Amino acid sequence: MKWWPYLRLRLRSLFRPDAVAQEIEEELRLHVEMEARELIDAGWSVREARLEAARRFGNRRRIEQHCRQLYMIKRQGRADMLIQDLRYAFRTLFKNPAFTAVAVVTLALGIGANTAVFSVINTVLLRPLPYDEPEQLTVIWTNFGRDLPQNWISGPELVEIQEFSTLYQDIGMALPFTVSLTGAGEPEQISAAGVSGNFFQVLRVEPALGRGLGPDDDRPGADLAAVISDGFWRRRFGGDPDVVGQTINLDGAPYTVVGILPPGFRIFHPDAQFPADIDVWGAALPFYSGFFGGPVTYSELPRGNHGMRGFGRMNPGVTVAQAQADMDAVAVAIAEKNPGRYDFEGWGLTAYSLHGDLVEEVRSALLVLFGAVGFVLLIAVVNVANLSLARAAAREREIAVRTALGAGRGRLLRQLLTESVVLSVAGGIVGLATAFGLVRALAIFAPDDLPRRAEIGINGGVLLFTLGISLLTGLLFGLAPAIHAIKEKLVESLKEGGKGSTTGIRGRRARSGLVVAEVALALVLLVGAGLMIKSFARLMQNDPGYRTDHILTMSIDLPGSKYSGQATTSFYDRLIAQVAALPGVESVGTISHLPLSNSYYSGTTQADESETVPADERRVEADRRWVSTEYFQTMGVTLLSGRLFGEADNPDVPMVAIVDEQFVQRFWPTEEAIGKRVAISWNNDGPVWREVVGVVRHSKHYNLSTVGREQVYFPYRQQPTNSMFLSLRTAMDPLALAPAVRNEIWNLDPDQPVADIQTMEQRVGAAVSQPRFNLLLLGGFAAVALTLATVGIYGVISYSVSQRSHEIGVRMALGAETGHVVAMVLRQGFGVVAIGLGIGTAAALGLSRLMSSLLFGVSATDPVTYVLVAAGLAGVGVAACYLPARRATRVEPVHVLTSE
Amino acid sequence: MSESKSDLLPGTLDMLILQTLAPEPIHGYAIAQRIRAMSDDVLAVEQGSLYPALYRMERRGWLKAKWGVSETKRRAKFYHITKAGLQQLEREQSSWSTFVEAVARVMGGKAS
Repeated sequence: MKWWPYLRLRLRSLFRPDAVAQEIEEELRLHVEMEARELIDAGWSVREARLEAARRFGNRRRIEQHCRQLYMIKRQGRADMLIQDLRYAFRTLFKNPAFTAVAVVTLALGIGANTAVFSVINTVLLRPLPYDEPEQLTVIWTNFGRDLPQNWISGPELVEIQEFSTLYQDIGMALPFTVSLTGAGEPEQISAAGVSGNFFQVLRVEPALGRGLGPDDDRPGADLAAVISDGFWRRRFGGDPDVVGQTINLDGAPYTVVGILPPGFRIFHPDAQFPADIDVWGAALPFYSGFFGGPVTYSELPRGNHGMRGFGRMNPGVTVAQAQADMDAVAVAIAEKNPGRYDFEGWGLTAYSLHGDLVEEVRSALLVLFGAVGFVLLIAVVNVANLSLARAAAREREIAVRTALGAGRGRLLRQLLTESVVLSVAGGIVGLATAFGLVRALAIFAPDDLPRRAEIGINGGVLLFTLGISLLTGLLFGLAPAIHAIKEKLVESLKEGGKGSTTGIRGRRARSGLVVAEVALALVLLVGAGLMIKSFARLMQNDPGYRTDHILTMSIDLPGSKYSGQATTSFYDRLIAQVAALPGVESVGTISHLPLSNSYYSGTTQADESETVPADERRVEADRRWVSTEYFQTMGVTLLSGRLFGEADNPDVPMVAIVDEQFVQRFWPTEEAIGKRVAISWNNDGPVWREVVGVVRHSKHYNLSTVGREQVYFPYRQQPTNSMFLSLRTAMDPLALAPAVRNEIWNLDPDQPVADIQTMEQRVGAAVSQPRFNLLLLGGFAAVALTLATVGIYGVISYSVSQRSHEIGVRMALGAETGHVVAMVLRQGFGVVAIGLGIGTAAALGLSRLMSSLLFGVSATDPVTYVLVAAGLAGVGVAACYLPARRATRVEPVHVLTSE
Repeated sequence: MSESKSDLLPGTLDMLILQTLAPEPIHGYAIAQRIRAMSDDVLAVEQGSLYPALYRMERRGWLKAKWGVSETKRRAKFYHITKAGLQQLEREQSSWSTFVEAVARVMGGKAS
């Protein structure tokens, strides 16, 4: 029978029973009326015709009822059966509280862990970004070849991208920076962003109060207007709506607040330097005009000055692949329009989906974790299946009796499955409670840079997922014992008494299968966790190139309106001198871009000569840092050759530089670096050379696992920099010094904000928070898996052995030696474990490759980890065989033989 | 009205309905009329029993019902045969002719 017409009618009768009944009535009435009309036409009287038509039709009411029944579901019967099954299931489960409790807890662990991890995946990977039609949004990067494949955009490039692109509705940009907020209250360093006039239109964000920024605000020389975030508005202005129209002082310049953004508005950008919570938004051009001392347009900004983050909104229906093709064409057009500027290897533009690029880095970690909890659940399923199987042995008689009394196989199967689904749904409910706790813990331990961490929670989608896996789990572990049970030979079960065929060859084979599965699953998980532990240990032992203990750091950003040139130098000179004089301070230095501080700066750097690198390749995108003389000593950066900067390196003497070992490796691997020259700027006469006076160790800047670009240091006195990180070394608790240092800063300038006060150890902690999170979760799941698997393997094997106690008793009675019998049991039991180890190792070799991107300093096929894990599990297997075998041999043979 | 009525063999009603519906969709009353007409009034269906048969066949997916307007401009439910219905008709026709042949052979043998 086709199911669809049937189902359609059934559903209709279920949801619209009145309409169905009415239609049937109408149809039958019509028939009788038509017949009557025919008879009248044939000469019958009206009354007679009606009577005759009704007679010919038969009993209309009965027929109507009959028709209705054909539509209706035989609800009564099925519902009764389900209730009966449920009642029976509950009764059996309550009769075996120990079994039920163990099964529910086991399932709750598996389902709870899956629910928790899925809730993270659901929020981070699956839920669309909170913008209007977010799938249309892309980020746009420039590609400057091998050294700089993901670069920001410069003003002229933005204009050209807007001009040449064809598949975008609009392309805007935002440029984050920090400003000092002064005026009423404590000076504060806040995060701000300059945006193009169309930026909020690209994102389609309307302010909650006042107006947004528009193209009119983004003209050279326009009035300084700012839009502020809801959070900043509440924190700084107590949510006062009159703030709109007032002015605030940012870096000394008066901005009029024109609007307040809606609560919950955040910027999601893959760039770690782009804070999600920006307090103040202003149009970029008026700001630039102030910076350059006159009106300036995007096209007039320096082409080599990249800092703008491109946000584009594609036309409806355009795919990211099509947008990429569009950007490829734009890149060609830009290169043609600017001959000589972009004719290098690799130039291009990249369009990524905003959401995709945002979660790029965490995706693989989350998927690995999801796989891991999937394995935990599978192990839980195997454990419960095994428990059910053992119980099925005890129930064989019950089932045989029920069959003999006439229960059909379908009916029995349904009843057994009802039982396991009731069990798994109970596990799901307890698991959900577990998941609530786990999710809270996840949100706390999740790394700060996990996108949308604050949104993680259990919602409808997650609940649906939990329900789904609960039902699936129930079917999965219920099916094996159920099929097993109904396949039983009825007569044999009745005849054999309590010892049916679950103890026979087939039952043993089923249980061996479970042991193999359990060992294999546990091995894969433990290998994953083992690799993670080893990787994390390597990461923590890894020398970053500077010391991280007893160092206090903070960010100071002098406003350009107040400080420049000599004023900047003298501020920092005095600050360093005063902080150095504080009791407990051993050494003080400053650097423009501190390692692990999420501040980066790089630019094209040229080397003047090289034995190994041809003249036209002596350029590299290198990190640039401006430092005070004491910086290297304070941070413990090792000098490899030459000298460090000194007091003499001032603006009056030739400019100097210090390069890192990687720079030397790149350009001068065979020659003396000291005395060579590098350039980071050019004037009409060509490169402005700076002499290399020293070589230092490479400092890991972006995180602890990746080696970054080549690094070049310059003395800040030769090129004063307003934005600096202060770092100081002390023998005391570094944070205890923070108030004193802040006071020294405020002694120099009471309006100067201080931000980002952290010890170097805290920065390291934040930098490894992602791997630590992975380790914590994977390790936790592996521990749960190991416990479950140990209990499971032991349970299965000891059950098998105890089933053989009769045979062992006979062997002992016939004079077999204890050691001999134990060895036999061990051999057979361990054979099964070994198969599991083999399959697990093969699976782990295949699967661990997927997590190789998460590993540092250890290969995904690290033999030590594999051997250790396999040996550990083999030990569990041996113990699981040995203990019950030992016990069996100690039983008095006579006792065993007479017990039957 | 002297009609000689003959009871239907069980199971043949479905076949008759399918046969009637094969050319074009018609409503219930027309089905009853046509069966009567085609069989020269020999096979008189108790008219009401037509409907449970129709509903059963709709449920099986052999027929589809749709409300339309009758020749007398009244709302009426029209039945049309589905692909599955046509296949069923074929099956029933062939088993019917097998049955008829068998009966004919038996009856023929008795007569001789």
